[in-house]
Amino acid sequence: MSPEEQKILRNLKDENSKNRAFNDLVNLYKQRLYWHIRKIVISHDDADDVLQNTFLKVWKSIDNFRSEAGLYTWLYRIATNEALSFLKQKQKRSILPLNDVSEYLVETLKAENHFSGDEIQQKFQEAIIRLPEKQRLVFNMKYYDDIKYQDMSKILDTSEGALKASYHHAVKKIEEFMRNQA
Amino acid sequence: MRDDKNIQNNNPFEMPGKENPFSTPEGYFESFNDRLQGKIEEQENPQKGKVLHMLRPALGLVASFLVVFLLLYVPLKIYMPKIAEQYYSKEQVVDTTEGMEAILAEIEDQFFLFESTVTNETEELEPDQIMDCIAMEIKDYDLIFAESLNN
Repeated sequence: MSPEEQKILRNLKDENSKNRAFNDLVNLYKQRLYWHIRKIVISHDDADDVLQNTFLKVWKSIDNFRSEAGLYTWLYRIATNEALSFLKQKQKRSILPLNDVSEYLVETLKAENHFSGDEIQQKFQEAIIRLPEKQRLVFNMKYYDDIKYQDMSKILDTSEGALKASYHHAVKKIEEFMRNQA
Repeated sequence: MRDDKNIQNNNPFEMPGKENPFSTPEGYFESFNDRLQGKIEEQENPQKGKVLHMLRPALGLVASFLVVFLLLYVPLKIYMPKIAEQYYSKEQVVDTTEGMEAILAEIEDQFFLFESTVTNETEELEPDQIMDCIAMEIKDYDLIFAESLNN
């Protein structure tokens, strides 16, 4: 844990400095968590909702946080769970005949205003979206955020070996998808 | 150059690179803390929102009744003022004690007359009897109307 994180945690335990420390925590992690969530839910508006819910949950449960668990892995774990729950709720509430959440996400990607990528990048994102849930999470966390397998293992509660295998399968599937689209 | 980068990243196929293709609205991260603070306060002090939430069905019901009332009352007032006025003057007759007594007396007489014709003879009414009843109705109405004019 970095000295900055340790200081934030110390201040969070003190009622007088709790609000300021929480604000520091939000400032330190809001962007990283936002991009992590955004790659799961695709839409900016949805990512904003999930990010707010994530920090709300952090605020409510910060007293129960055990300092031996890494702060950053704990936050990523909450954000991942919130994003996946959000998608499940969305799928349940949807009146569209969707068999798979990936179809909804591909449609969201095509309609997304805040996407500045070109056609190849759009196809690449579509390939990632069409991966199975665990492979998609692992690929995004490794490829974009360069998170260590050791940390990823704590976040996703999966063995390092299984995560490496998931990444390998994800790469193969994306490669195949991109070849077929070319 | 890109191939070297891909090999280093164990990505042996052409990928568009690691640059983020997504973007956010301008000033999104700057305003995030304030919006989050607002949401936390809303969650911690839900009293105001809770009361409104509880009253929402009752308020909806009241609003529906008001709309129905206005839809009936306003066109009647605007497009049929004479009927509305007539109805009002009829009410005035009813309000006066004399008028009220006259109406009650007429209804009572009519009831006894009708009862005696039905119970004393047969269950079925003859056409003549029906005609008499109708004539009585007209007569009664005229009487009430005349009474209202006198008042």
